[in-house]
Amino acid sequence: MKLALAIPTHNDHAGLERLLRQAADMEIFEQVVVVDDGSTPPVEIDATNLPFQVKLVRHDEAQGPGAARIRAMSEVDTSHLLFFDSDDLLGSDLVSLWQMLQDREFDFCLFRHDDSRNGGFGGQMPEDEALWQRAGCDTTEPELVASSAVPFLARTANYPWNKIYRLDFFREHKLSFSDILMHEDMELHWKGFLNADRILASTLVGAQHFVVEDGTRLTNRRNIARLRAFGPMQQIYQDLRDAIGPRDALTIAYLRFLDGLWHWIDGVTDTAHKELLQAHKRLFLRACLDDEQQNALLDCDPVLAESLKAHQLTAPHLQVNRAPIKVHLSGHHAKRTPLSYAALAPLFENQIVQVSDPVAADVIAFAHNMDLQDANLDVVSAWRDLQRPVILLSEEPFWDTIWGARPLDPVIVTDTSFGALPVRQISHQTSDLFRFDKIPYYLLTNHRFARAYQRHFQRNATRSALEWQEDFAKRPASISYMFERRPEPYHWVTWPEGDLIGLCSWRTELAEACRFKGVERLGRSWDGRESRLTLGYDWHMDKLTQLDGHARMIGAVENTHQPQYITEKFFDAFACGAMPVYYASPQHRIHDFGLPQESWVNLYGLTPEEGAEKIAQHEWNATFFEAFREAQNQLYRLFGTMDHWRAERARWAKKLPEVLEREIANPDRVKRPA
Amino acid sequence: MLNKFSSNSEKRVNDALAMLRERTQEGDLSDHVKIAKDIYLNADPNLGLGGRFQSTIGDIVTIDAQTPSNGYWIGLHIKLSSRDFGDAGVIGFASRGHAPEYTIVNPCIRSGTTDGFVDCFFDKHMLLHADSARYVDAVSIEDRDELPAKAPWRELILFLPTKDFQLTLTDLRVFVV
Repeated sequence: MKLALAIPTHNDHAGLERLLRQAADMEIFEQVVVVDDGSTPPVEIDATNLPFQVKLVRHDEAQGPGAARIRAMSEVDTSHLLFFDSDDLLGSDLVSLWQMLQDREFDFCLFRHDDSRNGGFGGQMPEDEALWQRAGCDTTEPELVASSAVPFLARTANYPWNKIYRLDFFREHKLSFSDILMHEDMELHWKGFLNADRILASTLVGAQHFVVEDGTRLTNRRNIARLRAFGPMQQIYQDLRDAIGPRDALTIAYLRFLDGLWHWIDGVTDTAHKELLQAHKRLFLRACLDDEQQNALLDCDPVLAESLKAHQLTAPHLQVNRAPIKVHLSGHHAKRTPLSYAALAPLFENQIVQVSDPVAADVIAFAHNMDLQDANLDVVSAWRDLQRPVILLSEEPFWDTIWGARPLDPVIVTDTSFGALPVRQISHQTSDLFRFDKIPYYLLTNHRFARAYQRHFQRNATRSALEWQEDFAKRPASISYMFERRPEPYHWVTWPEGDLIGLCSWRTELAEACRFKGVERLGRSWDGRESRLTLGYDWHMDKLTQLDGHARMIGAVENTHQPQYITEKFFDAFACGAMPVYYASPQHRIHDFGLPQESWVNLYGLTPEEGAEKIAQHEWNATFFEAFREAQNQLYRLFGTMDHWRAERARWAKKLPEVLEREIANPDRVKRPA
Repeated sequence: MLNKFSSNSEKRVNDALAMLRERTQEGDLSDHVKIAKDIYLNADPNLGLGGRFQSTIGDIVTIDAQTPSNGYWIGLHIKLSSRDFGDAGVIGFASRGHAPEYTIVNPCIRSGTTDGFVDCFFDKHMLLHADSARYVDAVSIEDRDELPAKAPWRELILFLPTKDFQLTLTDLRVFVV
């Protein structure tokens, strides 16, 4: 077994030199093929002291990384090959990995990498970490990937440099890169997973990948060149479809990958090219999403079916004759707005655009009270001099109450370093924006909730009251609490006129007041385990996995009682097959779901001690199990159909622009000096 | 909080402002209106400023301004004593006031020069609104070129809106420390 390193490079002489030095130190490469893709000045390599054969070839004019890698493939003389980019670094585990691979048979071996976007903490991007987890690949020793795990690994970022390929594997299946400027790696990646008989995977870190956000790398280009990728996209789909059919998990995985990729491309495509992009997506879907494929999707992943369909729709801005609303998101918490979530942002595409300059904005939005006082001069000037309205688009009643302290006021005045600023609060309390129809806002912020609930409630709805009763009898825990321990009394705040109550300290006291057998208090603040916020993978999946079928009850009390504010907690409890312990006034919207009152416990109006007593005394009788069965069926009817999710998303697509328009049309009247 | 500031170097104007809070007076607004000794309102004549001003016990002044035409400025001028800042590090003022609508006031220190004057604006604007609003700001003397250490005369000017407005200043104290 001999290993070659193939490096396409373009005007990165320093990076190439660094990479060659690193490769020399590793002493695992027999050959290094460098394809100089039109660098100025041309690449020169002094191979005198390098412990491998160096082959330097040149494209006089830059042809892009795809063409350069294709050229490299044709020049390699070894049995195995690793593609690498000159601006990345080889991982320290690569030597061990290559040693472990000696005498192993494989078509390619996938290894892990560290991504610079993780702020130097190592690890891959969270999406990839989650996919590795789900694939169950957790050994350093390269192990054969089970066929059930292939669709997960195939959905990881389509990099060519995190795999050691057997060279004959390319030849046997005529595998290559696409000769395009961007996304040229997709073809080899997916066709590799499609055709490989033996894929190995190791958790060893073989590469350090560096990404300069908004830099000048090809991946940051926002131009029409990306659209050329639609040709290979369709070809890959056709190959998958012909080889394994529309229902195979790998075909579905590919469509899931495309759905995510398209959302990402949407976000980086210039406005001028959006319509063209839309047309490309429509053409693709028209060609590929025939009835057979659509039926397969509806059976396997109805959320994905809806999401793909949404790509076909004409962008809303093409349907309405108005310019998009320009919003400047400001502050550290700017990622926590309906405009910021990848799952929601497409709803507002071209109705609302984000601008980096507050002066260019129609409206300036903050997400968190805490950020308001740090408003910079540009923001204050935009309001002061240009009358740009400033809003607090807050999704968290917890922030509005504990930090804002005036959650009921439609307008609050905040001191900044440049003078006081009147800010209109658009919150659960002050706006009808969050007044959901069927699906509460928080569940829309990530598709994970729809997917998880669809599956869990489909399963749960098949169970009879008797089966639940038998199941509950086997539960190892009485009640599980999974929320942050916040005993500080200042968390207990109330605004009775708004039916608004801070519950952080109340629910902490409740958890501590439960002293009966089988009480679990989970999470870093209780048991020192890792916080969900630091988990690199899907915290919600992790939570459901931990709690599914585990406890008879789950503490689902929100951090704040607000009639419109309902997060995943209540539904997670039911999804895990446990009775939720909740806190809801008679006006709370949780009652609108119409679940049998006997199927959950409401501690509203009780002290923590009284609540603990009520929980301890709960009777697990036939009435409860029948109510619980009925609740599960109702929740399946609610979450199992995409209609409700789609309708709620449509409500948001309409409502948020309306709310912003209202602010722009009627900014608070301000008298100002000349 | 307002009482904590040492304001001896501007005792004269602070006394004048305090006296306004202890008496009742009213009058019509025009391009140039004296409100008290060392305190006057000056407006761009093009505005045709009209309306009323009023001082009641507990308030410095309420201004109800009408501006039938367009113009560039209305300033409430408060003459200061500090011609030579000496060792002082900052000059500033604290105030309290309210207005039925959100009303911005831009304060500055105007210093006389041989050529005329130079304005040094405070970083913060004042925002008056329905709730009584407090304002405190100061500028560092040595950091601001527009604030010469010595000047033949100085004023604190509050630049008011040049559209119809109503506002009340309930307190204002100048400090140089």
